[in-house]
Amino acid sequence: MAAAAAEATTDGGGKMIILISADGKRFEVTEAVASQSQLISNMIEDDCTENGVRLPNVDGDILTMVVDYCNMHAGDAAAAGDTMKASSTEEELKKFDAELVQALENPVLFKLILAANFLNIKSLLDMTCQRVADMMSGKTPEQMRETFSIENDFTPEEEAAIRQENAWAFDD
Amino acid sequence: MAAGDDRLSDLPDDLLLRILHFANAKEAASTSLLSRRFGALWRSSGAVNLAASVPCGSRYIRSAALLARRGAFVRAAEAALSAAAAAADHRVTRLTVHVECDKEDKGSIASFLLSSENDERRSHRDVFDAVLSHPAARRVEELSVAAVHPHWSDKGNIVSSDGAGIYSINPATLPSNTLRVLDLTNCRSLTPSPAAAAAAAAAAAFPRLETLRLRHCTANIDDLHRIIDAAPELAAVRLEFVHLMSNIHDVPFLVQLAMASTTRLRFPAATALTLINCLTNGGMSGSVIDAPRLRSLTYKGAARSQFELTSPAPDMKMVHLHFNHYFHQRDYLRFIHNFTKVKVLKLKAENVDDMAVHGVFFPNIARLELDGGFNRWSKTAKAAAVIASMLHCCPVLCDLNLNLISTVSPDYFKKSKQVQHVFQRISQLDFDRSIEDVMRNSISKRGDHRHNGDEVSGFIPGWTACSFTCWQNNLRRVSLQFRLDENSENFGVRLVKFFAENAMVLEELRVLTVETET
Repeated sequence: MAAAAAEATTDGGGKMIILISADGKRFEVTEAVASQSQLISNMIEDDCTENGVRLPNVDGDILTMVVDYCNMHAGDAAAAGDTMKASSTEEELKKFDAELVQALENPVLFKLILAANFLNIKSLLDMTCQRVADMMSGKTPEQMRETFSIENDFTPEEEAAIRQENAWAFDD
Repeated sequence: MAAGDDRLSDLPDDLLLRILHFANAKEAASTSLLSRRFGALWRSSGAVNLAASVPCGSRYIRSAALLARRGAFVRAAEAALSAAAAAADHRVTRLTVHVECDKEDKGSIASFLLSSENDERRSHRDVFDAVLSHPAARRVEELSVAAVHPHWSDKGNIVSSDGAGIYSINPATLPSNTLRVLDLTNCRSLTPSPAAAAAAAAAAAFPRLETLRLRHCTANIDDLHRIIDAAPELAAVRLEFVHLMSNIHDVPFLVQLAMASTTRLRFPAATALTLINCLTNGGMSGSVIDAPRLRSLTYKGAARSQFELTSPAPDMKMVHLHFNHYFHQRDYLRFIHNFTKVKVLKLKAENVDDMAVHGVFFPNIARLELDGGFNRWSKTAKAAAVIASMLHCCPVLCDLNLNLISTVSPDYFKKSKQVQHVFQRISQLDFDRSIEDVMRNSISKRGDHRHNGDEVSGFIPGWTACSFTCWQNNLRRVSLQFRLDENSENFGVRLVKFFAENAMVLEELRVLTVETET
């Protein structure tokens, strides 16, 4: 994926920019694709992407997923913007999104959430947060603690008080 | 990323809140018991997502068990809303109510929601009314209400004409001042209650409403317009399996027929409109759509002759049409005639043979996607003529995507081998040679005896280089997807060669072939 010139251009997608991950991996994407990140979009506006965009808190493997996601969703931007990139159908996007988050191990999912938040890609942040919310669905507090390795630091008395306060949430 | 970022608890509060924003109210409240860290966090998520599972079966309708379930649901809903309201720093901006039944059973859900017209206990309050009238629900920005059971899947293409929908929403009960997104599934009516009608007509305004989504709903057109007209910022409208009904019950039958023959829909502020498998007046009437600011349209359904886009937007950009019923050529041409100004056109039908255009000119189309099956019944000459007719109409085309396989059954794909090639013209010699090499291997060895499997020319019946002078100097990217088998007459391979030889400024050629594995 590495490319020599940061200013390479193509006709349809506009100017290319380089994203550089924490571990030095380089990704070449069109401005239209990268602009789905509000952070990068602002940098493009301020004209400071010339020498590549360093993302010191996003690992290469996470950035790979983010770039895949942005490439896939560039069509959404095409409807609003001026790029002529091929856009995928809704069904294809849904399937792609589901597959992207479905198989992730918790630590990777949380890293992806952090990256989406840092890069400010709202749709990816919503999707990954929704995935964690879905993992909570139908679980008792004990099962949630197990799923997310959460340590119970309440005393039995405190726990009883909380149960009573929110009784509606705990009875079935 | 620093080590130790692998647990949920390591995420900062604002991200935990974002997660709780999407969690169901019950599970969100349960997180108060996880650890001190979580504690009262859930109250500030800004969202209340209510979900209920309704016991199904006729024996449950109006049963004590169902009543008890409803009572518990309403109490929990009120508790969740009150808890959220008590968090001083965050108001509830997102409210979702999702009621479902795991079997096909409209009656049980209706009985649970108490919105059946025949229900004798009219004095009881509707579940949705109870939720929406809670003080904490009055400043919601995003509202989603759904009552679903398995019958209404997306698989069918036709909306039931006996009227979809289970519950009614009285628009006067909506948090109209703050609402940005309204999303309703299986709503039967948007009619204001008689008492509220007069007041609603004067008062209900949706100054911030941007997005309206209706799925599997029945809507009276006047009711729908009442909302649309009160929403000056309504940019995105999506109607999916919606049955639109005219208000024609009080007039004689013949007048009804005349009135119903065309349905007028207006979306004055819409920039993006999606109509998927919608029906107007039981399918009797055509549609005249007035959307002067429209930039993109997605339409899936029948190619109706009476579909008209009046006051077309000057900068209409993208149109995506998917015709999923058999259609008449005349209806198709009239339909497609609405979109002569677009820049991007995607056209999908069962069969590529059906897509021919004549007498239509698309002076602005820069990107064209044609998606239709080329199967054993297709004839090369016919398909070639259809594609040619389309290309003739698009003089400034730069980007062409021709998909001849998307309608192939998924079973076939499972057993098939798919190969993707990307050719970039950097040097003419390499370009020609690599295409030649790859295509030689792709040629079907079985069917086409004329060529002995060695050579297929770029000859396509009815196509000559000079017949495409219009786009020859514009076309930069071509993407072709096709099958390789004995019935294809190597049509795809011929297309590849034709474009490689005749598109003068072609930069990139993408080819995806699908072949039965042997």
